[in-house]
Formats: sequence, structure tokens, C-alpha cells
Amino acid sequence: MNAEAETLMAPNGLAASFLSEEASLAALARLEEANVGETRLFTPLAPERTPKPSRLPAVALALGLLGAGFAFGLQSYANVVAYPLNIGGRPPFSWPSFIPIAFEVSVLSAVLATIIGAGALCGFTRYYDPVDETRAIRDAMIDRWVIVVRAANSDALARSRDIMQDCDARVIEEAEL
Amino acid sequence: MTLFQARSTLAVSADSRRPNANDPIVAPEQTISTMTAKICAPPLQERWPLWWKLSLGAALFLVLILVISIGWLFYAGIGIWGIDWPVVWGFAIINYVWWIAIASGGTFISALFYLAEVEWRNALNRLAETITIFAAACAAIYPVLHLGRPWLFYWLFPYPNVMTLWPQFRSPLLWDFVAILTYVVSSILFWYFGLVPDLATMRDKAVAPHKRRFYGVLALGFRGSESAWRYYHVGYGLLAALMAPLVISVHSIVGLDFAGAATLGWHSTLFPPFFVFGALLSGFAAVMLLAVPARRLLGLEDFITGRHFDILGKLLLTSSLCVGYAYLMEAFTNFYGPDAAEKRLFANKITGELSPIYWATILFNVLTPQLMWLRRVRLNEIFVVLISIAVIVGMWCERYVIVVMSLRRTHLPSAWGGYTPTIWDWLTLFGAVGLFIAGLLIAIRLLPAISMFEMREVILRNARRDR
Repeated sequence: MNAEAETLMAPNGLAASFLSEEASLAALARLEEANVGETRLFTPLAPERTPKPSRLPAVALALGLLGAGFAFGLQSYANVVAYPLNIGGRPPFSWPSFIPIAFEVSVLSAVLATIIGAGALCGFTRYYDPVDETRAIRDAMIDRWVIVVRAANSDALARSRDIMQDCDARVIEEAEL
Repeated sequence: MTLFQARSTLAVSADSRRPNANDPIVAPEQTISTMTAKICAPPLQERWPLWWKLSLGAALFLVLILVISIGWLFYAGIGIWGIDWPVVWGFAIINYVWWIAIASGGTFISALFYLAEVEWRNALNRLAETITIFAAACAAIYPVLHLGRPWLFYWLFPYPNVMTLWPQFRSPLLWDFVAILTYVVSSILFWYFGLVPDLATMRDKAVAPHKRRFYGVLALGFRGSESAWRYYHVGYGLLAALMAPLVISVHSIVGLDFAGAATLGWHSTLFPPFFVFGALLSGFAAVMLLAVPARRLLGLEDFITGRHFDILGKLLLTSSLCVGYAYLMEAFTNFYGPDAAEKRLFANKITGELSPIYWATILFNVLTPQLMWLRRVRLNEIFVVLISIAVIVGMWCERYVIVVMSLRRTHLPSAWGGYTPTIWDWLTLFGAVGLFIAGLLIAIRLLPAISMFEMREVILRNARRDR
């Protein structure tokens, strides 16, 4: 990037890295209080803030039950309607023997639902984000807590910088977000 | 010479890195930065030491043997194996049950102990899950090879076909096919899902562009945003909750493969829990066995400590006692029950020509692990390796006893027979061992051997506790 292009780009955000979760959360609280704009926190491990409830378990349960119903129905159809076969005098609708496969298919369906659901909600395959342009984000999955602010205006940008400095940010860099 | 290269030798016996009774779960001097650097170092190393190359070469040689054995099997048919009437299940089923039990350790440690919120599993779950997927892959080969016409394996799926035939859903063998399929697919997904944050760390740690691209693609764009972590955490917990009952069901169904048949020595309700106990024992033994070289060769002594060996040793001992109880109950129910043929078979097991295999099973699976009562033994890596190997060999002997001894002595004495494995049986067994080892070696070459994001939780929690 040449000098001219750099001056043309007006940074509207900040990225700052912190050494601890406590420092980052303190900064985040102050940034939210100051209403500087959209803030995002990137952390090297799952943050300890109270997790919000999610519908994912309910979706996994529903798809698991659907899978079980499908497997049980398919076995019943095959044994009773499509291909009834007398084996050892057992009735065609030997429902207890359909349960293991129904259970396995329900687990497989729930696992697939969880992977696809959690993957979509986590943003899997979103390979590019403007925060990737910052240097700070490269430490977020290593040992730093990184806050990225998209400031509402230049005044908010300046306030954000002051707050981050107050909260002992190690690196503060401007970013085009 | 780097730290990693310096540690790349087993000749570090009399050192301070030996497991100790007072070891913490993670060395207190480790911070999240030093831990990340240390665990990322081996996979990001440009050149790997001689031990890795030699081991991989040996493992690939065994894989070549496996490929040749399978090729010859495809060409000549299963007549190249020692199986015949009445022993129609030989090494293929013995090896299958053996491998799938070894695979269980990863799921137990990863899923069950995650739900129990124990900290020590965070150092072992990656290694254990990697063992799971390669052992399950080795297990999955055998039933397909045993089909006779392996290229028609898809007939096991209920798919619309011109013959309007359906698989026999009332057979435990078909339950097993679905269970193994579910287990292999779910284990791979659970393993990969658990790897994603660490792959993101590798992406950000890597310097070479091709490595950044490689790990970047695999990390699926994970950046550690708070919202991503929130859903990740929910998803991971859910997967753990699904995997824990799955592993119990898989081994129960493997037990039902046998119990479902009206064969002497098999037709027992004891089999499903018996197989779960056996799986626990083999799984813990496999994790213990591989934890020793992993910590020494990859320099992970600060993370896989004496505390881990102490706990794994106790788990091995507990599962060995469960297996011992099952052996005892098997003997008791035979003599408590009315079936003379069952009594005769059991007497043949303990005194017949194959009785050394039965007693080897008792020696390796029940008696040898009793040494784990002694803390000194649990913390001695040489003893740990020897006892784990004994258990793994013992579990193979157990499956030999179950499969071969029951089939060669049926209800009708006129139908009795024998079984002698051929060279192709043995080569297929050793070839699969090579496949397993090659898979593990490639995995530790490319991926972090310890779950870094979970280890950070332990380190920070300990640091807070100390403050």
C-alpha cells in the first residue's frame, strides 16, 4: 500500500490487545458505557461471561428424534410391508429389534445437526473479515484478548483510544473496518 | 539445536521429568504464551528428527504389507485366511473387536470426562481422540474384508435396488454396521470440531505462507470472537453429551453381535456390559501406552504429568477389576445354569489345548493391572508401558478365546473343528497396526498434540486460584 492510498483511507476503527481477560472486560464495559460504536471481543479461549441460552440443543434434539423416527419407520416398512421375512417365527413388526438402529441414527442426526448448526452460528467458512487486516487479531487465538471497535465518528474514535490506554492496552492500532 | 530436537530422544531416563506423585496437572511455570509456543513448535518445525522418519518408514512398510494382503484377499477370496466351518469368524472379527475397543478410550476421556468437568482430560483428549479415529478406521476395515465380496459392501445400506431386497434389520450384525458408521463419522466430526480453535492458533503462529494457507483453510475462518466461542461452547458440550452414550451403545452392540447368536459361550445377557468394560480397559491402556512416548518425544512433560499417570493408572485398575468381575460372572453363570454343553465348553477353555490363551487373558487383563495399586508403579513409565502392552495383548487374547473357542466346540460334537490362522491373517493384523501408527505419526506431524484452547482454561484457572 503506498503513502497516497494510506492517506485516502480514513480509519474508522481501533483494534487493541490486552494481556488478560479482566483488563479486556473492563475496557469493554467502559467502551459500551461510552457508547462509542460497535465493539467486538476476540479471545484465545471461551470467555467466562455468563453464556446466553441457545436454541442449538433443542434443534439437535428435534433432528435426533426425527432421525430416530425415520429409522424406526424405515425398518418397520421394510420388515412389515416391503420385504416381510419369517425368521425364527418372529413377527414382522419386531419393534424391540428396531430400537438399536433407531438410536444410532438419532445420535448421528443430532451430531450432524450440531456440527452444521454450531458451524453456521460460529461463522465457519467465513474466511474473510475486515478485522483480519489488523495486526492485533493475529494474537487473539494465541495469548491476547483483542477488542475491535468500529467507532461511530472521529470523536468516538478518540474516546475509544483514551479508554483503551486507560485500561492498559498493550497495542492499539487504527483500522479500516 | 532447538528444544524440540534436543528432546527428540528417549535417552532421558534419569531426569527430573519423570512423573512424580506431587506433580500438578500442568507445570506452574507454564503461561498461556509459553504453552502455546511449546505445543505449536513440533508441527511447525520444518525438519523432523530421525526417530519420526524411521518410525514412519517402518509403519508405512506395514501399511504396504496391509495393502498387499488386502489385494491378495480381493483376488483370491477369504479362503486365504484360516477360517473354515465351524470357525467361520477368525482374525477379522477378533481384530475388529480389538480395534474398536482400543478406539473407545478417546471417547471416554474426551466426552465422558468433559461432562464430568475434570481438568486433567484437557491434556490428553487430543491424543486420545486421535487414537480413536485411527483405531476406529482400522476396526472398520475388517468387517468389510470379511464380507467375501467386499466391493459389494454398499448392499448393507438400505437403498432402493432392482432386486427389491432390504437388509435384515433384525440382525445385530446390521445394528453393528450402523453403530460403527455412526461412531466413525461422529468421532471424526467431534475430533475436527475440537481441533478448529487450535488450527486457528496454528494459522496465526505459522510464518511460512503455505503453512498459513494450510492451517487457514482447515481453521474455517475461526477468529475467537465472543459470539463464535459462545456457540462453539454449546456445540462442543452437545457433541460430548451425544458421544458419551454413543460409545456405550457401540460396544453394547458389538457384544450383541455375539450374544444374538445361539452359540455356546456367546448367548448371554452379560455380553453388552462385558464388552463395554473390555473397551474401557483397552482404551485406557492405549492412551496410557501412547502418552509415554508422546510426552517424552514431543517434550510435553509439563502438560502430561505424574498426576495424569496416577489417574490413568487408577482408571486402568478400575476397568480391569470390572473385566475381572465379568470373567468371574461368566464362570459363575456357566455352573449356576443348567446347560451341560456350556459347562463342557468352559472346562475346555480352562483346561483344553487352547487354555494357555485363556490363562494369558486372565494374567494380562486381571492380574497384571493389579500392580497399579502401587503408586510407584503408576508413576513409573517403564511399568506403565509394559502393563499397557500386556493389557492390549491380553484383550486380543480375550477376543481369540471368545471367537475361536466357542466356534470350534459347538453343541454337536460331530461338528467340532479347529482353527489355525494363516500368514495372511497375521499380515493383515500387523498391517493394520502399521496403518494405526502411521496415522498417529502423521497427525502429530501436522497437528498440535494437546488441545491448546482447553489447556489455556486450566492454566488461567490455576493462576487465578494461586492469586
